[in-house]
Amino acid sequence: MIFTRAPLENMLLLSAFIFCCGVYTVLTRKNAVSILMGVELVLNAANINFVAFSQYTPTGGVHGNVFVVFVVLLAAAEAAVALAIIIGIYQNFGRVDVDQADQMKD
Amino acid sequence: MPASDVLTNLAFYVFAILAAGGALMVAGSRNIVRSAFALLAVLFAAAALYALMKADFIAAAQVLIYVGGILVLIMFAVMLTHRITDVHVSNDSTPGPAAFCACLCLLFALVVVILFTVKWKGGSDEVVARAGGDEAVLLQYQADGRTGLRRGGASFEDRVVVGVRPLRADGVVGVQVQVAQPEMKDELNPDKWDWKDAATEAPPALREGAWVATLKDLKEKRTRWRARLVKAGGASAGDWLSDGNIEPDFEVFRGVTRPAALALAGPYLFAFEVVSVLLLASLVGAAFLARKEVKE
Repeated sequence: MIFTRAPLENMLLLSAFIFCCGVYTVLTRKNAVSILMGVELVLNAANINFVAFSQYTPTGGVHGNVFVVFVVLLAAAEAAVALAIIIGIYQNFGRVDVDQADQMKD
Repeated sequence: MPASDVLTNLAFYVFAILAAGGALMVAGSRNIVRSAFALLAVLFAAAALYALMKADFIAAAQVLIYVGGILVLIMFAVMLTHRITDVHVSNDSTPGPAAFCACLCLLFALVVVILFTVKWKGGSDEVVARAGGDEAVLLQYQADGRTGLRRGGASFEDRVVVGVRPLRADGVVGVQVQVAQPEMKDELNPDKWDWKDAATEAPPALREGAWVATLKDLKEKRTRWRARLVKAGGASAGDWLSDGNIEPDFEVFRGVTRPAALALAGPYLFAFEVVSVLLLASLVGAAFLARKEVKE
Protein backbone atom coordinates (compact mmCIF):
# COMPACT_ATOMS: atom_id res chain seq x y z
CA MET A 1 0.00 0.00 0.00
CA ILE A 2 2.07 2.90 -1.26
CA PHE A 3 0.44 6.20 -0.38
CA THR A 4 0.78 7.99 -3.71
CA ARG A 5 -0.61 4.98 -5.58
CA ALA A 6 -3.81 4.88 -3.54
CA PRO A 7 -4.03 8.00 -1.39
CA LEU A 8 -7.75 7.76 -0.71
CA GLU A 9 -7.56 4.18 0.56
CA ASN A 10 -4.58 4.97 2.79
CA MET A 11 -6.35 7.93 4.36
CA LEU A 12 -9.52 5.89 4.87
CA LEU A 13 -7.59 3.08 6.56
CA LEU A 14 -5.87 5.53 8.89
CA SER A 15 -9.11 7.22 9.82
CA ALA A 16 -10.81 3.84 10.34
CA PHE A 17 -8.08 2.95 12.84
CA ILE A 18 -8.42 6.28 14.67
CA PHE A 19 -12.20 5.86 14.68
CA CYS A 20 -11.95 2.42 16.28
CA CYS A 21 -9.54 3.73 18.92
CA GLY A 22 -12.06 6.47 19.71
CA VAL A 23 -14.95 4.03 19.96
CA TYR A 24 -12.91 1.78 22.25
CA THR A 25 -12.07 4.75 24.47
CA VAL A 26 -15.72 5.78 24.68
CA LEU A 27 -16.82 2.23 25.46
CA THR A 28 -14.32 1.35 28.17
CA ARG A 29 -13.44 4.49 30.09
CA LYS A 30 -15.14 5.52 33.29
CA ASN A 31 -13.63 8.99 33.47
CA ALA A 32 -15.85 11.51 31.69
CA VAL A 33 -12.87 13.51 30.42
CA SER A 34 -11.44 10.37 28.80
CA ILE A 35 -14.78 9.70 27.14
CA LEU A 36 -14.64 13.24 25.75
CA MET A 37 -11.18 12.49 24.34
CA GLY A 38 -12.61 9.41 22.62
CA VAL A 39 -15.31 11.55 21.05
CA GLU A 40 -12.66 13.94 19.78
CA LEU A 41 -10.83 11.00 18.18
CA VAL A 42 -14.01 9.92 16.41
CA LEU A 43 -14.65 13.43 15.13
CA ASN A 44 -11.09 13.73 13.87
CA ALA A 45 -11.40 10.45 12.01
CA ALA A 46 -14.55 11.77 10.34
CA ASN A 47 -12.75 15.00 9.44
CA ILE A 48 -9.89 13.12 7.80
CA ASN A 49 -12.45 11.23 5.74
CA PHE A 50 -14.17 14.44 4.70
CA VAL A 51 -10.96 16.07 3.53
CA ALA A 52 -9.75 12.89 1.82
CA PHE A 53 -12.97 12.50 -0.16
CA SER A 54 -12.93 16.20 -0.97
CA GLN A 55 -9.39 16.03 -2.28
CA TYR A 56 -9.11 12.64 -3.92
CA THR A 57 -12.41 12.25 -5.73
CA PRO A 58 -13.35 14.26 -8.82
CA THR A 59 -16.79 15.13 -7.50
CA GLY A 60 -15.62 16.14 -4.05
CA GLY A 61 -14.98 19.77 -4.81
CA VAL A 62 -14.73 22.10 -1.87
CA HIS A 63 -17.73 20.86 0.08
CA GLY A 64 -15.84 18.37 2.23
CA ASN A 65 -13.56 21.15 3.44
CA VAL A 66 -16.52 23.33 4.35
CA PHE A 67 -18.08 20.48 6.28
CA VAL A 68 -14.88 20.04 8.25
CA VAL A 69 -15.09 23.70 9.29
CA PHE A 70 -18.57 23.07 10.67
CA VAL A 71 -17.54 19.85 12.41
CA VAL A 72 -14.63 21.62 14.11
CA LEU A 73 -16.91 24.42 15.28
CA LEU A 74 -19.50 21.98 16.62
CA ALA A 75 -16.74 20.01 18.36
CA ALA A 76 -15.59 23.20 20.06
CA ALA A 77 -19.11 24.00 21.27
CA GLU A 78 -19.62 20.40 22.39
CA ALA A 79 -16.34 20.37 24.29
CA ALA A 80 -17.18 23.61 26.10
CA VAL A 81 -20.62 22.41 27.20
CA ALA A 82 -19.39 18.91 28.10
CA LEU A 83 -16.59 20.27 30.24
CA ALA A 84 -18.99 22.61 32.03
CA ILE A 85 -21.18 19.57 32.77
CA ILE A 86 -18.13 17.60 33.93
CA ILE A 87 -17.17 20.36 36.34
CA GLY A 88 -20.77 20.41 37.59
CA ILE A 89 -20.63 16.66 38.18
CA TYR A 90 -17.33 17.07 40.01
CA GLN A 91 -18.79 19.72 42.28
CA ASN A 92 -21.71 17.45 43.16
CA PHE A 93 -20.11 14.01 43.35
CA GLY A 94 -16.43 14.72 43.96
CA ARG A 95 -15.41 12.44 41.10
CA VAL A 96 -16.06 12.40 37.39
CA ASP A 97 -16.66 8.68 36.90
CA VAL A 98 -19.71 8.34 34.73
CA ASP A 99 -20.99 5.18 36.43
CA GLN A 100 -21.21 7.04 39.72
CA ALA A 101 -23.21 9.93 38.37
CA ASP A 102 -26.44 7.96 38.14
CA GLN A 103 -28.83 10.43 39.71
CA MET A 104 -30.48 13.40 38.06
CA LYS A 105 -30.55 15.14 41.46
CA ASP A 106 -28.22 14.70 44.38
CA MET B 1 9.26 7.09 -8.32
CA PRO B 2 9.96 10.86 -8.51
CA ALA B 3 11.47 12.65 -5.55
CA SER B 4 8.30 14.55 -4.73
CA ASP B 5 6.42 11.25 -4.46
CA VAL B 6 9.05 9.88 -2.10
CA LEU B 7 8.70 12.96 0.09
CA THR B 8 4.90 12.74 0.02
CA ASN B 9 4.98 9.07 1.00
CA LEU B 10 7.49 9.74 3.76
CA ALA B 11 5.43 12.60 5.17
CA PHE B 12 2.25 10.53 5.07
CA TYR B 13 3.75 7.53 6.82
CA VAL B 14 5.48 9.61 9.50
CA PHE B 15 2.32 11.50 10.39
CA ALA B 16 0.07 8.47 9.97
CA ILE B 17 2.21 6.49 12.41
CA LEU B 18 2.20 9.46 14.79
CA ALA B 19 -1.59 9.72 14.59
CA ALA B 20 -2.20 5.99 14.93
CA GLY B 21 0.24 5.63 17.81
CA GLY B 22 -1.27 8.61 19.57
CA ALA B 23 -4.77 7.20 19.11
CA LEU B 24 -3.62 3.87 20.55
CA MET B 25 -2.12 5.67 23.52
CA VAL B 26 -5.30 7.69 24.09
CA ALA B 27 -7.22 4.43 24.10
CA GLY B 28 -4.73 2.46 26.14
CA SER B 29 -2.90 4.65 28.62
CA ARG B 30 -3.94 4.40 32.24
CA ASN B 31 -2.68 7.90 33.01
CA ILE B 32 -5.14 10.54 31.90
CA VAL B 33 -2.48 13.24 31.51
CA ARG B 34 -0.59 10.94 29.16
CA SER B 35 -3.81 10.36 27.27
CA ALA B 36 -4.28 14.12 26.89
CA PHE B 37 -0.75 14.59 25.53
CA ALA B 38 -1.22 11.66 23.17
CA LEU B 39 -4.36 13.41 21.94
CA LEU B 40 -2.15 16.44 21.26
CA ALA B 41 0.02 14.25 19.01
CA VAL B 42 -3.04 12.93 17.18
CA LEU B 43 -4.41 16.43 16.56
CA PHE B 44 -1.08 17.78 15.31
CA ALA B 45 -0.61 14.78 13.02
CA ALA B 46 -4.13 15.27 11.67
CA ALA B 47 -3.29 18.92 10.93
CA ALA B 48 -0.19 17.80 9.06
CA LEU B 49 -2.26 15.31 7.07
CA TYR B 50 -4.71 18.08 6.13
CA ALA B 51 -1.78 20.14 4.88
CA LEU B 52 -0.63 17.09 2.94
CA MET B 53 -4.08 16.92 1.35
CA LYS B 54 -3.72 20.59 0.32
CA ALA B 55 -6.40 21.70 2.77
CA ASP B 56 -4.18 24.38 4.26
CA PHE B 57 -6.98 26.41 5.80
CA ILE B 58 -8.33 23.33 7.56
CA ALA B 59 -4.86 22.56 8.87
CA ALA B 60 -4.53 26.04 10.35
CA ALA B 61 -8.02 25.88 11.85
CA GLN B 62 -7.21 22.46 13.31
CA VAL B 63 -4.16 23.81 15.10
CA LEU B 64 -5.94 26.94 16.28
CA ILE B 65 -9.23 25.43 17.45
CA TYR B 66 -8.41 21.85 18.39
CA VAL B 67 -4.91 22.21 19.75
CA GLY B 68 -5.27 25.75 21.03
CA GLY B 69 -8.82 25.55 22.28
CA ILE B 70 -10.28 22.11 22.83
CA LEU B 71 -7.13 20.45 24.09
CA VAL B 72 -6.46 23.28 26.54
CA LEU B 73 -10.06 22.93 27.75
CA ILE B 74 -9.53 19.22 28.26
CA MET B 75 -6.31 19.82 30.19
CA PHE B 76 -8.16 22.34 32.33
CA ALA B 77 -10.86 19.77 33.02
CA VAL B 78 -8.26 17.19 33.98
CA MET B 79 -6.56 19.60 36.34
CA LEU B 80 -9.77 21.00 37.81
CA THR B 81 -11.36 17.65 38.52
CA HIS B 82 -8.36 16.04 40.17
CA ARG B 83 -6.02 17.13 42.87
CA ILE B 84 -2.81 18.19 41.20
CA THR B 85 -0.81 16.55 43.94
CA ASP B 86 -2.13 13.19 42.82
CA VAL B 87 0.72 11.72 40.87
CA HIS B 88 -1.38 8.97 39.34
CA VAL B 89 -4.60 10.55 38.21
CA SER B 90 -7.14 7.80 37.94
CA ASN B 91 -8.08 6.82 34.44
CA ASP B 92 -9.60 3.46 35.17
CA SER B 93 -11.13 1.54 32.37
CA THR B 94 -13.71 -1.08 32.87
CA PRO B 95 -12.39 -4.52 31.99
CA GLY B 96 -13.59 -4.61 28.43
CA PRO B 97 -12.67 -7.71 26.45
CA ALA B 98 -16.12 -7.48 24.91
CA ALA B 99 -15.54 -3.85 23.93
CA PHE B 100 -12.10 -4.77 22.58
CA CYS B 101 -13.54 -7.57 20.46
CA ALA B 102 -16.32 -5.29 19.24
CA CYS B 103 -13.83 -2.63 18.18
CA LEU B 104 -11.64 -5.21 16.46
CA CYS B 105 -14.67 -6.48 14.54
CA LEU B 106 -15.59 -2.89 13.63
CA LEU B 107 -12.05 -2.21 12.39
CA PHE B 108 -12.02 -5.45 10.40
CA ALA B 109 -15.36 -4.63 8.80
CA LEU B 110 -14.19 -1.11 7.90
CA VAL B 111 -10.96 -2.42 6.37
CA VAL B 112 -12.86 -5.00 4.33
CA VAL B 113 -15.26 -2.34 3.07
CA ILE B 114 -12.47 0.12 2.25
CA LEU B 115 -10.17 -2.33 0.51
CA PHE B 116 -12.39 -4.90 -1.11
CA THR B 117 -16.03 -4.02 -1.54
CA VAL B 118 -16.09 -0.44 -2.80
CA LYS B 119 -14.31 0.66 -5.94
CA TRP B 120 -13.59 4.22 -4.85
CA LYS B 121 -12.38 5.59 -8.14
CA GLY B 122 -15.42 4.17 -9.87
CA GLY B 123 -14.04 4.86 -13.33
CA SER B 124 -14.30 8.53 -12.56
CA ASP B 125 -11.30 9.47 -14.63
CA GLU B 126 -12.61 7.74 -17.70
CA VAL B 127 -16.15 8.70 -18.48
CA VAL B 128 -18.23 7.56 -21.39
CA ALA B 129 -20.18 10.52 -22.71
CA ARG B 130 -22.88 10.47 -25.33
CA ALA B 131 -23.88 13.66 -27.08
CA GLY B 132 -25.27 14.51 -30.48
CA GLY B 133 -24.88 11.06 -31.92
CA ASP B 134 -21.25 10.84 -30.86
CA GLU B 135 -19.92 8.62 -28.21
CA ALA B 136 -16.62 9.35 -26.63
CA VAL B 137 -14.55 8.31 -23.69
CA LEU B 138 -13.29 11.33 -21.81
CA LEU B 139 -9.98 10.89 -20.10
CA GLN B 140 -8.09 13.18 -17.84
CA TYR B 141 -4.42 12.76 -17.33
CA GLN B 142 -1.97 14.51 -15.14
CA ALA B 143 1.27 15.58 -16.66
CA ASP B 144 3.94 13.96 -14.60
CA GLY B 145 7.00 15.80 -15.85
CA ARG B 146 9.06 12.65 -15.90
CA THR B 147 7.22 9.78 -17.35
CA GLY B 148 4.95 11.97 -19.39
CA LEU B 149 1.47 11.06 -18.38
CA ARG B 150 -0.29 9.60 -15.43
CA ARG B 151 -3.87 9.11 -14.50
CA GLY B 152 -4.95 11.82 -12.14
CA GLY B 153 -7.64 12.45 -9.61
CA ALA B 154 -9.04 15.81 -8.76
CA SER B 155 -5.88 17.69 -8.00
CA PHE B 156 -3.20 18.52 -10.48
CA GLU B 157 0.13 20.12 -9.99
CA ASP B 158 0.97 21.12 -13.50
CA ARG B 159 -0.84 20.56 -16.70
CA VAL B 160 -3.96 18.67 -17.49
CA VAL B 161 -4.24 16.52 -20.53
CA VAL B 162 -7.68 15.90 -21.86
CA GLY B 163 -8.12 12.97 -24.14
CA VAL B 164 -11.22 12.30 -26.16
CA ARG B 165 -11.43 8.86 -27.67
CA PRO B 166 -14.43 8.41 -29.94
CA LEU B 167 -16.11 5.06 -29.81
CA ARG B 168 -17.12 5.36 -33.44
CA ALA B 169 -14.42 7.29 -35.26
CA ASP B 170 -16.21 7.95 -38.55
CA GLY B 171 -15.27 11.41 -39.77
CA VAL B 172 -13.75 12.65 -36.54
CA VAL B 173 -10.53 14.55 -37.07
CA GLY B 174 -9.79 16.21 -33.75
CA VAL B 175 -10.91 17.67 -30.52
CA GLN B 176 -11.71 21.19 -29.39
CA VAL B 177 -11.22 21.95 -25.72
CA GLN B 178 -12.50 24.90 -23.74
CA VAL B 179 -11.86 25.87 -20.14
CA ALA B 180 -13.65 28.14 -17.70
CA GLN B 181 -13.21 29.34 -14.15
CA PRO B 182 -16.77 29.63 -12.83
CA GLU B 183 -17.76 32.06 -10.14
CA MET B 184 -19.31 30.48 -7.10
CA LYS B 185 -22.74 32.01 -7.71
CA ASP B 186 -22.90 30.53 -11.19
CA GLU B 187 -21.38 27.25 -10.18
CA LEU B 188 -24.36 25.11 -11.07
CA ASN B 189 -25.09 26.81 -14.38
CA PRO B 190 -22.42 26.00 -16.99
CA ASP B 191 -24.20 28.11 -19.61
CA LYS B 192 -23.21 31.28 -17.80
CA TRP B 193 -19.57 30.40 -17.48
CA ASP B 194 -16.96 32.29 -19.45
CA TRP B 195 -15.76 29.55 -21.75
CA LYS B 196 -12.56 30.17 -23.62
CA ASP B 197 -10.66 28.05 -26.06
CA ALA B 198 -7.87 26.34 -24.23
CA ALA B 199 -4.34 26.82 -25.38
CA THR B 200 -3.60 23.34 -26.54
CA GLU B 201 -0.34 21.82 -27.43
CA ALA B 202 0.52 19.26 -29.97
CA PRO B 203 -0.85 16.00 -28.71
CA PRO B 204 1.52 13.33 -27.57
CA ALA B 205 0.71 9.90 -28.79
CA LEU B 206 -1.37 8.56 -25.96
CA ARG B 207 -3.10 5.52 -27.24
CA GLU B 208 -4.53 4.46 -30.49
CA GLY B 209 -7.50 6.47 -31.61
CA ALA B 210 -7.19 9.11 -28.92
CA TRP B 211 -7.18 12.81 -29.56
CA VAL B 212 -5.36 14.62 -26.86
CA ALA B 213 -5.13 18.26 -25.88
CA THR B 214 -2.76 19.57 -23.27
CA LEU B 215 -4.19 22.47 -21.33
CA LYS B 216 -1.76 25.19 -20.42
CA ASP B 217 -2.44 28.33 -18.42
CA LEU B 218 -4.34 26.67 -15.62
CA LYS B 219 -3.30 29.31 -13.14
CA GLU B 220 -6.61 29.84 -11.42
CA LYS B 221 -7.73 27.89 -8.41
CA ARG B 222 -10.57 26.06 -10.07
CA THR B 223 -10.69 25.27 -13.70
CA ARG B 224 -13.25 23.19 -15.50
CA TRP B 225 -12.98 21.90 -18.99
CA ARG B 226 -15.22 20.63 -21.69
CA ALA B 227 -14.37 19.05 -24.98
CA ARG B 228 -16.03 18.13 -28.20
CA LEU B 229 -15.12 16.19 -31.24
CA VAL B 230 -14.44 18.02 -34.47
CA LYS B 231 -15.52 16.40 -37.69
CA ALA B 232 -13.90 16.68 -41.09
CA GLY B 233 -14.34 19.97 -42.92
CA GLY B 234 -13.93 22.08 -39.80
CA ALA B 235 -17.51 21.67 -38.67
CA SER B 236 -17.91 21.27 -34.99
CA ALA B 237 -19.53 18.01 -34.20
CA GLY B 238 -22.36 17.70 -31.83
CA ASP B 239 -22.60 18.91 -28.27
CA TRP B 240 -20.01 19.48 -25.64
CA LEU B 241 -18.86 16.30 -24.04
CA SER B 242 -18.41 17.35 -20.51
CA ASP B 243 -20.62 19.65 -18.56
CA GLY B 244 -24.27 18.87 -18.29
CA ASN B 245 -23.95 15.60 -20.10
CA ILE B 246 -21.80 13.72 -17.67
CA GLU B 247 -21.76 13.94 -13.98
CA PRO B 248 -18.25 14.69 -12.79
CA ASP B 249 -16.61 18.00 -13.43
CA PHE B 250 -12.92 17.87 -13.09
CA GLU B 251 -11.43 20.69 -11.17
CA VAL B 252 -7.95 21.95 -10.72
CA PHE B 253 -7.11 22.83 -7.19
CA ARG B 254 -4.19 24.91 -6.13
CA GLY B 255 -5.03 25.30 -2.49
CA VAL B 256 -8.56 25.27 -1.27
CA THR B 257 -8.77 28.34 0.93
CA ARG B 258 -10.36 30.73 -1.55
CA PRO B 259 -13.00 28.29 -2.83
CA ALA B 260 -13.82 27.30 0.75
CA ALA B 261 -14.21 30.94 1.74
CA LEU B 262 -16.42 31.57 -1.29
CA ALA B 263 -18.55 28.54 -0.40
CA LEU B 264 -18.90 29.72 3.19
CA ALA B 265 -19.99 33.15 2.00
CA GLY B 266 -22.28 31.71 -0.66
CA PRO B 267 -24.19 28.42 -0.51
CA TYR B 268 -23.32 27.79 3.13
CA LEU B 269 -24.03 31.28 4.43
CA PHE B 270 -27.16 30.27 6.33
CA ALA B 271 -25.46 27.31 8.00
CA PHE B 272 -22.55 29.59 8.90
CA GLU B 273 -24.87 32.05 10.64
CA VAL B 274 -26.70 29.23 12.45
CA VAL B 275 -23.36 27.94 13.73
CA SER B 276 -22.53 31.39 15.06
CA VAL B 277 -25.82 31.44 17.00
CA LEU B 278 -25.04 27.94 18.31
CA LEU B 279 -21.61 29.03 19.48
CA LEU B 280 -23.15 31.97 21.31
CA ALA B 281 -25.74 29.71 22.94
CA SER B 282 -23.13 27.18 24.01
CA LEU B 283 -20.97 29.97 25.42
CA VAL B 284 -23.84 31.23 27.55
CA GLY B 285 -24.83 27.68 28.50
CA ALA B 286 -21.33 26.67 29.52
CA ALA B 287 -20.96 29.78 31.64
CA PHE B 288 -24.33 29.06 33.28
CA LEU B 289 -23.45 25.43 34.00
CA ALA B 290 -20.02 26.18 35.40
CA ARG B 291 -21.03 29.13 37.58
CA LYS B 292 -20.46 28.99 41.29
CA GLU B 293 -23.52 28.10 43.31
CA VAL B 294 -24.54 30.90 45.63
CA LYS B 295 -25.46 29.33 48.96
CA GLU B 296 -28.33 31.13 50.65
